[in-house]
Amino acid sequence: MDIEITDVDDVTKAVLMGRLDTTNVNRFETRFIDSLVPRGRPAIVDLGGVSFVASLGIRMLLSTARALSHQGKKLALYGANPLVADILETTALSDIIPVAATEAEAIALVTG
Amino acid sequence: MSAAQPGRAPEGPLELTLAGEIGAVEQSRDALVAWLGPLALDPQLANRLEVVLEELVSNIARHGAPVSFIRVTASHNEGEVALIVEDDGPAFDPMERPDPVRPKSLATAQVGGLGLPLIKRLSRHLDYRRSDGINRVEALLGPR
Repeated sequence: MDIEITDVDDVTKAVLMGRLDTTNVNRFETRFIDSLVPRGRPAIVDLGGVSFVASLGIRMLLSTARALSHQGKKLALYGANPLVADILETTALSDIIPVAATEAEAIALVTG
Repeated sequence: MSAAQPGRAPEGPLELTLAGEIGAVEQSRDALVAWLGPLALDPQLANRLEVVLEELVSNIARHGAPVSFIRVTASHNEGEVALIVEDDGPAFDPMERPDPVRPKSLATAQVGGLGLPLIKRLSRHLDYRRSDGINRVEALLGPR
């Protein structure tokens, strides 16, 4: 599991790579939240490099989105492969965190 | 443990018994993936099986009181796969937990406890039994 953080204008962009499974999220969750939330900016998360997600990975994304929302900022996801998207839809995560197809759409969702 | 060799059909069910600790999550996943390989199932079904196994085993390893073993069995029949996970921890019936309502907003969404709803929604059939001090959860998954 790895993460790359960059700035796209006033938006924090996080690129996640690897498996969001129990073992990895236990090691990685604090680092992920600390990489996004203290910046106090809208954030987009590129899931294109994520090959697997289970409930702890979804909890990590929800916790981060909720912490940002307390600052009045939004988080959007994009680029999930069909298998990861299937699990996000099954948990109804996509009902409460915006999911976009592309980076440009995700930026529009968090800055609009 | 019996894990199939890639490139040929599994000769029988996957059967493995692991220590009741968090390492069982990764060990059981690796065994399931190796066993599933020759079946060449639809990738979505294979991924769902991996998720359900991960949730079942991690629930036992992370939340339960001391558990001495976790036993995983998987069998395939006409496109459906039955996953059975057994342990000797305290009684825990996942069927008793009510399904969370679909969240309407980020503020009201349940952040934890997402694993059991995921298991229920991904499984065609889910069954829990306890006998002789052993929990036994069976999840049946098939193509959509």
